Amino acid sequence: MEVISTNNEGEDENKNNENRNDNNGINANEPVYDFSKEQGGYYNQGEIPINVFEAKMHGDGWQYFSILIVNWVLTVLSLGFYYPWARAKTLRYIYGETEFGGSRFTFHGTGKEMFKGFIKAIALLAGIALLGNLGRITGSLTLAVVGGLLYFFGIMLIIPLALHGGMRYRMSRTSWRGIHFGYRGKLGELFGICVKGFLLSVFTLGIYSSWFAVDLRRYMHSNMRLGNCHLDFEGQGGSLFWINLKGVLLFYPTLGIYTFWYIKNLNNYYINNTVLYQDGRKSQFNSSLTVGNVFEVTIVNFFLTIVTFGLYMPWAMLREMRMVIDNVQLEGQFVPEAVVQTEENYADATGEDLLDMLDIGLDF
Amino acid sequence: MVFEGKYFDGKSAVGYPARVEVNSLTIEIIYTNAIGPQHISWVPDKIYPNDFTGRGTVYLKYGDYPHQYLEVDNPEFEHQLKEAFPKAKFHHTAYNRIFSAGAKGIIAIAVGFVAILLLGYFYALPAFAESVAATVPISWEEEFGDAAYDQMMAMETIDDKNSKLANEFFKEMGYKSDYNVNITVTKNAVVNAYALPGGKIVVYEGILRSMDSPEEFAALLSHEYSHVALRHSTKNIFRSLSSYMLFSLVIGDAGGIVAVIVQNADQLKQLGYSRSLEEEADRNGLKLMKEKQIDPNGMENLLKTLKKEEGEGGVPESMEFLSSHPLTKQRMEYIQKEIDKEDYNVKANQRLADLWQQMKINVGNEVDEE
Repeated sequence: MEVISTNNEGEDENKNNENRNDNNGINANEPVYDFSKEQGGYYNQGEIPINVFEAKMHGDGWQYFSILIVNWVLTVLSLGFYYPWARAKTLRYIYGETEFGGSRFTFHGTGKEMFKGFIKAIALLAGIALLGNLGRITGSLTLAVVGGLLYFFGIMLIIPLALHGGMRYRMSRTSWRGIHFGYRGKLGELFGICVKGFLLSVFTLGIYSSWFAVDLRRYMHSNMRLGNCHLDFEGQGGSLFWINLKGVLLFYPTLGIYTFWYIKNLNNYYINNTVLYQDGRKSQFNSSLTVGNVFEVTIVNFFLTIVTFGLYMPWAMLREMRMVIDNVQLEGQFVPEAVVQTEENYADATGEDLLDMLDIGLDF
Repeated sequence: MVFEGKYFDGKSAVGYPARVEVNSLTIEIIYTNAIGPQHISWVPDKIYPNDFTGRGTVYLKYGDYPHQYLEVDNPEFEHQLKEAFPKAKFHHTAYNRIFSAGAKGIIAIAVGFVAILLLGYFYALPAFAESVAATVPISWEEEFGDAAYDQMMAMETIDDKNSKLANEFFKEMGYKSDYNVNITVTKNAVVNAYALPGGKIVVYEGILRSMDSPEEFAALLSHEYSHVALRHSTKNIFRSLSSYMLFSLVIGDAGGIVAVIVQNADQLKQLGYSRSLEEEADRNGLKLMKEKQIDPNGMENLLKTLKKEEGEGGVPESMEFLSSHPLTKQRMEYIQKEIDKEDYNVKANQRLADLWQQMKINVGNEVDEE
């Protein structure tokens, strides 16, 4: 386990035994977590060590390549029907090869669930497309107007719907050390954020979109659960706007080379502003990604993918994931042993498939 | 053999150090939690399918929600599991089989897959496109043909007089058709003629000059018309643009296809028909001529004219046109056989002869003026 303790767990108990109360008036010596002897006994409130938890991508290019090849073969041979199963396989592999704090994630989604969601998502999109063409099909002006309005609402609703359903499914289907993630967000609230963000972005000619992105992320993060822990996002719209503005302004003067910095800034902005709360204690995610990392990975991927006529792609994808994941750390008084199962099973993959069709990625 | 592992009970994230033993029927796990020492047995049927991608480390998921997990960092554990439960479903996954096939197996699959893709791309997709071409409504064909026509005519000078005469000529031939056939003669010295989907036929002045009789012209129009009526040109376009078109067709968007055709109009001209399609057009043209009592020898004479052009070398582009057809000699042979096969009546048609004469004069006059 790659946990680096900065505070000795076996510290002499007498050392802090002077009735020291912390600010909240909780007795520092009161055991808050009680484990078996093998797990280090128990922690007192004041003694929870600050640990650093590292993330690691273990994926192997050959394995990933073989999974993708089999996926492609079966998807082609089945005229595309295998696609949901292929996606489940891919996600399962990637999650299973991603380690955090010494344990790997598990993705539990199945092809069957995703296939059902796939069908529902297609029906939903087809229904919306039909509304948009109602006037053209029937030749009636009234139906064209009504259909058009419904179409507009459908389009507005589909993204929050996809994000909401996708998050619920993906979180419920992901576990770490046997503890399932969960998403507690409400569709109505997310819809409100999307409508407000969309309208303000339009009125401000896109300037507000940075604040919109931050609102969205904050809402979704703060509703993500890992058992009794939850995430939060502390980034400010202004900082994101500044990153984006620099990205746009410096793109041409640097002949696009600034893109490497932009990618690094964006990645680190999102990760460094993500925090995890466990029983009121905050732990901080950090990313140590450097421009050099981005530069090296991008250039090597680009050339090797071209030279191998695209066969290098699975390796390239893993390198890219490794670049992001291996640079992530969580630092704080997080006690993995104290995470307990809280979430329920949720098996509806419609949102997940909608996200895939709309090409929206859920990146954690 | 007893393995050291880590056990997760699905209730908390505690990874209990565990002693794991594989028996003939179960996996025995012994660990200690806050309550005290625990002993549980796993049956292989409740272990979830596993691809064993952990490279040495084995991760097992077990039972109903919330699932339990076992992590054993020892490659020997995987072997023992497979040995102890040879028929258990959890390790008989398709992917697992592929992984055990090693690099050679994976490469074989990759090569096979690429072969299937290539076959699909070069044979199955065009064949599919052709079968789709056979079913699209005529109005779609017209839309494609007109789009390509407009694009092509932007580069040509249309001979209005002869176009009008040629259309009258075709009308006089009396073919009944669902297609709205429209012939355009252009002032181009190249010996060429082609048909577009939906009924547009383009005849270059060069080929008019080379031909000597109205029957030859009738044969040329019969041949090109057959390409239209048998949807050869539509099939050809679908075939060569199948990859672009697949998507447009799936979403039922004829407009998208038209855009592709306009972009590729120049290439359409160069598209040769396959030999079998040429032969089909020859035979069908011949059949139509016999039905309408036009001398089928016109077809043979047309080929003789083309052969002559071929022999003389002609302009490079005319060579290109000829080379896409079956060898002219072969064509002459099967046409001769077809002509001799059955009796037919020939009725001289003065109107056709007159129209042809006028066209010839028009062409000749212009030649003189130059």
